[in-house]
Amino acid sequence: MSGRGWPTKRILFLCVLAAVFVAALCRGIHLDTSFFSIFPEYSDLSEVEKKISQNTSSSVYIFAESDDFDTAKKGADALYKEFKDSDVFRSLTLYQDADSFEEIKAFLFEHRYQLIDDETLSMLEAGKVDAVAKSALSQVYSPFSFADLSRLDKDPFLLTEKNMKKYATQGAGNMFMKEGVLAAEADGKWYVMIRGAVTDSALSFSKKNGIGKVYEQIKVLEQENPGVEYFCSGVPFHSYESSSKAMKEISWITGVSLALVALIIFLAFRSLFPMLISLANITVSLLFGLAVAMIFYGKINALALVFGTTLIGVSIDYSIHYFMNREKIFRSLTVNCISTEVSWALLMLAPFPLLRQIALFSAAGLLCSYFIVRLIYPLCPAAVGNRAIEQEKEHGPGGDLTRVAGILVIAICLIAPAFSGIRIKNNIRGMYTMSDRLLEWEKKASSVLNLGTTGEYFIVSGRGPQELLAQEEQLAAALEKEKKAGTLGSYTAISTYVPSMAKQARSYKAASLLLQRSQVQMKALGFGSDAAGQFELDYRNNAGKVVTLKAVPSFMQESIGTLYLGKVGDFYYSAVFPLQVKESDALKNLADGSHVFFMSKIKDIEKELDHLTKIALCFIMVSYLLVFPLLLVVYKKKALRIALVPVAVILGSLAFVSASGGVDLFACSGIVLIFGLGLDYLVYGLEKKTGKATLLSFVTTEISFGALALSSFVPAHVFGLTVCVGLALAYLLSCLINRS
Amino acid sequence: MRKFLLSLILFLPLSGLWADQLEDVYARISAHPVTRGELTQEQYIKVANRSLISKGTFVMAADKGVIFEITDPFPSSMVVTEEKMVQTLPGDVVAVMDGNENAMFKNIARIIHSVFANDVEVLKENFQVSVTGGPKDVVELVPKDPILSMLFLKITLAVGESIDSVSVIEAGGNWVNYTFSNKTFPEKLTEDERQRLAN
Repeated sequence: MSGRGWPTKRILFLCVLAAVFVAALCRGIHLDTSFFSIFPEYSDLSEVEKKISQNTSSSVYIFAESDDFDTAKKGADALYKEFKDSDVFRSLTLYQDADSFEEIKAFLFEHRYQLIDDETLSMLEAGKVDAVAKSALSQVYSPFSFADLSRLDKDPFLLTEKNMKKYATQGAGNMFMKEGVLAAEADGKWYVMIRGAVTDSALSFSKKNGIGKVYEQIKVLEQENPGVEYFCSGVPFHSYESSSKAMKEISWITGVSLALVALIIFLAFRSLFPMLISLANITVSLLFGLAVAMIFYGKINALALVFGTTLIGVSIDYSIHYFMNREKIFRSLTVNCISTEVSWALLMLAPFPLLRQIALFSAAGLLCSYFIVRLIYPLCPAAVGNRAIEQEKEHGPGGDLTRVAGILVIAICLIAPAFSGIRIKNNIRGMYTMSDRLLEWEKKASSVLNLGTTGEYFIVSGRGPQELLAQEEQLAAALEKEKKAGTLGSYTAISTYVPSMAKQARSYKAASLLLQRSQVQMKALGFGSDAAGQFELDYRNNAGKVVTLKAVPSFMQESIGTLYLGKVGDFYYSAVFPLQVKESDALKNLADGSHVFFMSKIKDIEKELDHLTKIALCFIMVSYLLVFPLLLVVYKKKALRIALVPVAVILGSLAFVSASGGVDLFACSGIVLIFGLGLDYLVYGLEKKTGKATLLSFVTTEISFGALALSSFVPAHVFGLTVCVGLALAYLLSCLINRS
Repeated sequence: MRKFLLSLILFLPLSGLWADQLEDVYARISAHPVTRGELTQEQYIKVANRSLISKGTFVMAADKGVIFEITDPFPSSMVVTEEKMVQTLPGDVVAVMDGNENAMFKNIARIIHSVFANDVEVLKENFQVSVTGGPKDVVELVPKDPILSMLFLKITLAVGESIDSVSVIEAGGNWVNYTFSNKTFPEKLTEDERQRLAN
């Protein structure tokens, strides 16, 4: 395959390259900036989870803050006018129609017999009709009760009024309607809120990013309106900031890595040609990796590209070894490429989108680099790199000292994990560090909104909408008990807006008990003798009425939209959000695992990451088992000596990571890679005249992963640092072993 | 246009004047730290075309809030403080509109509290105010916010030495008159009243 012949393979390779690039261009280059997509799919309900994420990942809250309400409202209005017709938001709401309350009231009045509140319903079913009636009379005669008595002739037991309070304040938190907007007052400041949902195109990473436009406009308006400050909350702001940061890091990590690698190659070969062809190889490999990832995934997360920059350091190794040792190195190159590809391939199996993207990007890029070296490099003039070869000397004979040193380092590596204690620990909160500004905004928004939401909620399922509502009602009854026990403050569920048909029928039936008291009630309220008859007629006319989700007032539709998840597979799903939770363990016990599931996002993801970390540790063993037979075939007796080093490197790296705070998934993924890359130094070392090439490839790889270790994205930092330390250990050990 | 300018010229100094008068009226009300007496509530129900009368007692504490106790014909009580409104119905059914739980409740409680307490700033913030002098000062409060207008279109207070009556006109054509009589002005609240008015 080497030499200047074999045109078919070269042509075939170039055709594959061209086909992949064309296919990727046809598909389009899309960067995924969604913050949620970096998390693993962690449950059987992942499709249902995605629906909730879709709702939350586009929702934003923007607040205008001022010392007085009018200025805050003016500020909110200015921002609202700027964006209400723009393509940034698919919905944007500042003004609330005061008629919403009338709409709710009319809805509750129309369905008053089907929607009797739980307290009244249980009193009626317990036969306490008189108590219900007297309570209504006292309410009517009570001062400042603000009960709506305009339909007293048709609703003498105030069934509408009892529901009104619950509906009007559902999930309102600190915000209340003031002069047509949602406002809050705290610590002498007024806050006016704009709610919205951004469009998908607004989240795309480009100069026209919608969130970027919002930031720009806020800056302008703050200058134009002194006394008004804005702050924002919502996942799109985090996605924007994290992807902006990722792109900046990609730029400088790539720039620094490329510059240093180019300088080292130039100094080593004292010629521009190897440097230029190596850089060309890196560029084509990076683009190939990106193209393959695009074809497979449709889009690639910006953070995956941060990791992908390490391809520079890994692929340059092949160039260095080629220019120093030419075709003689091809056997080692092939072994090393296979061992590294095995590592990446195993990471591709991890049920973690971000990790899979990184692995595919890197594996494809590396494979491309390998084939460029094997198929294209032999076309280079033979003189290139010769000066470096001339300077290469064989290793001197090893002595007892190096043997002892090698055995000592291996022994330390083998026993180190026992002392450090391998601890698997994933911390999801530590994965993402908010900017100071965003952290401050989120704190403020949480305090102003005071909705009391946590990352914990229930998913309820049913074979049909009615079974779903019935299941929710059972959960709601249990939540009511927990409310009384002080476990939580309140909760939001669809069944509080629309009960199941069974409950509506129960409610209508219970209302019939009021008929026996209607004569006395009407008299006490000053109505004539025929009023009770009218009331009974009205009750009968309401027989068979059913409240559906569609009948809910538009003001409430928005809340229901986030709670109702619709049909996924064979089941219908909804979410129930407990609010002001004080004890989540008690809530967890309410899940039955068949129709009611308790979701604790952060804890569940951490648990899943711990599980994935264990899988990644198994991957290391699998890598070892897969690569060892290859070593045995290629290096025969030497294979045993080679195989010992990765074990020591892996254990030494694990000890380092454990001592640094615990083994997380990214450290573990790094160790999988160390196995593949660390083996390279040993394999190259078995070839003659490769000492300088191995040193150079070690330095360039360390530059790449070292730059990644400087990333502000914690997983990238952990991954980079782990590989840096592991490879240093692998290089040291391979030097000692090869010399001895 | 000329009419508009004229009314603007007339209105501007008047609004300032009313603000001063309002402060005078409330200074007089708050001169009595506690007012206790009898309450008569006349409630006109438009659909029944008749009024419902209820009677009871009241306690107003200028800086704390108000307690209304209805004894006849159906017992109930209403306690209004700056933070919450607590309604107690027969059978110990308690309906609490707690401002700590919900900002809307807090806003309503704060506004109703301001009608009876010396909190002129809250009144000016939420109402168009006019004050008419005479044997008794008459304070008219028209809500600025359409949301509040859904609860009441206008509140009118007749104030002599203290608040003599409050009339509330509601949106649906109903109205309520609260008449405060046989008033006494004790120095302080009883322990029970103090506890009920504690936030």
